[in-house]
Amino acid sequence: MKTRLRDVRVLVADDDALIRSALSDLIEGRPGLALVGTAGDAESAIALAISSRPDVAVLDYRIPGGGVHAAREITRLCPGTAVLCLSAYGDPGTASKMLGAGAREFLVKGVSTNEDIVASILAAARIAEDPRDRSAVE
Amino acid sequence: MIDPPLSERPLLTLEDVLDPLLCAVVVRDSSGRLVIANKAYEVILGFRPPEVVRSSNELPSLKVTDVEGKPLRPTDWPAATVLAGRSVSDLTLSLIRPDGRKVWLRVDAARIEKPQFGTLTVSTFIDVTHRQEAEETARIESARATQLLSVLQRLHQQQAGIAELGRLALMGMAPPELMDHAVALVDSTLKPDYVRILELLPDGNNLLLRAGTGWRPGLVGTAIVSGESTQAGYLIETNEDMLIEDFRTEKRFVRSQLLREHRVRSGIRAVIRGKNTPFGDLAAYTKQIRHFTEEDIIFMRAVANTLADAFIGHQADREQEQTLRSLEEVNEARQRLLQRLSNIVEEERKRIANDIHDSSLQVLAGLGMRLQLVAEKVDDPDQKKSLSEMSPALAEAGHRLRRLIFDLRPDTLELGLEPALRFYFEQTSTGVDPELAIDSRLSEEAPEEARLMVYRACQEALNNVRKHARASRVTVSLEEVDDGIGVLIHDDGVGFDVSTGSQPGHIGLVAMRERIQIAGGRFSISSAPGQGTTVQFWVPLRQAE
Repeated sequence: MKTRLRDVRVLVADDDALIRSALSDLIEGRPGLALVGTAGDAESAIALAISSRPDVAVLDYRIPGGGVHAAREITRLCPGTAVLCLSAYGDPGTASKMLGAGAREFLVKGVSTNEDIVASILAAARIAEDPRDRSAVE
Repeated sequence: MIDPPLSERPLLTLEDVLDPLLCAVVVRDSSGRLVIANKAYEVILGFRPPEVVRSSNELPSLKVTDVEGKPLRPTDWPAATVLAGRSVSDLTLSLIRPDGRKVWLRVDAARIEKPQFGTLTVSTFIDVTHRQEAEETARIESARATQLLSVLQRLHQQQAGIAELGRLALMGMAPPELMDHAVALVDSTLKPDYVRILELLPDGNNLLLRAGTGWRPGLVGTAIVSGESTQAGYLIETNEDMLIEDFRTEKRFVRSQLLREHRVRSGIRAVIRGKNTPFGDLAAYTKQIRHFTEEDIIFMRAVANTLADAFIGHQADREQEQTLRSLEEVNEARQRLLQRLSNIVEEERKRIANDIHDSSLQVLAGLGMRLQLVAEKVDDPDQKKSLSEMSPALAEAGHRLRRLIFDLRPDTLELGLEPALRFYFEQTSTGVDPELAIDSRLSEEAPEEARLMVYRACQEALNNVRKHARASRVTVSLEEVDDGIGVLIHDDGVGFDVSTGSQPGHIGLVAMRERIQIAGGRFSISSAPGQGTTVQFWVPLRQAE
């Protein structure tokens, strides 16, 4: 396992302000993680991903414009960005759609703890850096 | 003692021989002078034999008739007949005696030629009145019987005609054809000049000539008869059947224009009853005076009553049809309403689920994350502990809300029925669930609506199994049957007595059955104590509009 020389840059997209601020605080409060910006809908998330090239994009499933759309577009347009799905509600149908659109992992808000989220962001960043290292998710 | 020889005895006279006889015997010579008459003559004919009978003048005024009742001329009387050289044998004639009594006589007569007397006639009269009267009675009775028979035949024909009319009515013949048939029946039975059926129009005063025969062409179906002071109006008012001997002497009403135009003199009419007000009337008319009989009015009444019953029945049929149709409409409307309601329920569930997701669940998740961040920053171990203890509670609340959302809005269905059911069963696990086996033979997923219906029904059935069956295994079989999905859910639990109608989870089952039936599907449940329970249903892939 390599040691990162720079912070993992994270994008947050969620239409819920409370979640956005909690996630922002969590990321900004962690050494090794840096927040590049937040978005409230799919189109701004895609634009932000293109302009800021984050290592990890944490997307909500139910954002205006669609989490699936955002995941697919960011995966397609920003190959260096790993997509994580963080959804308030997760059933196999939702999860499979997000994973099918390119998300590396599907986390459920309120089930995954803050620590789980941070761990998943770091794991996703490693995969983005070296696609051969998939141990964090498999 | 020995009788003396015949020649020595006193002379036996002719009177001695003839008087004891019951038949009258009379002998006259050719000039009509009485030679001999026995006692019976006076007894039978009612008068003493005249000494000379040269002509009828010398007899009491006798009215002599032959067997057919025709007067018998004196030249044809027995004595005259035999004198004229013809024989009289077994001749029957009747005679009114001077005392007015009528007797029937059987007469024989003969001619006797004796040189010392010349030509004589002998006539015998036997009283056959009793026999003749019996024959007469028999003839009268027979004639009466023949007449009665013809009356009976006519009545029978009338009855048959009415029965046929009734049969046609029962077979559902429409009123216009039935009226034509009734008119023809009256026409052929009574042979009047005119027959008509009037229908009372809704204005309650005028009547329409609905059917008829004999009238000037173009009138049937168009002619209106005013009820004002006419017989038709009178009839409708008094609601009674009647005979009109002669319209010219009739005081109760005047002839309508129609009857005047057709020079009607006599008539017979019967009311055709209606449900509330009379339908109208049936009538037959003649141009000549005719004495319609009581029998005729009975016939007319029978025809009118048959028509009335048919019309009332027809109306009732139509009303019933109407009621049936409106019942069907009500039922369809109810089905549409239920369908809409069930759609609304489904929509409402989705809306609530979204609401929970977007507000409660998000807030809960955000609070959880915030709580963890705050806990990190707190230095006091006690505070840190109590804060960290809050997280599982929040997580549990979130879990419950997610389950609720899942119940309300089964997003998993997008993956298909089998994974959705499996996921549902896992998500709602109580920890002591029976083993679930799903045997899906669906080649492709059903349209959304059908899929949701099957899912909901299975959900209900699985909940029942879980709550009541105490089963160790439950099998769900899914397969395509006749453009629909056939589902069989069987458990090996305790079962129940279907006949009591109080199966566990009854209300849920009723609702399930109702939903499936509204969608045009079928539903059945079978069970017996100790035999497990089998729920079977079929839902069409596409619901009927």
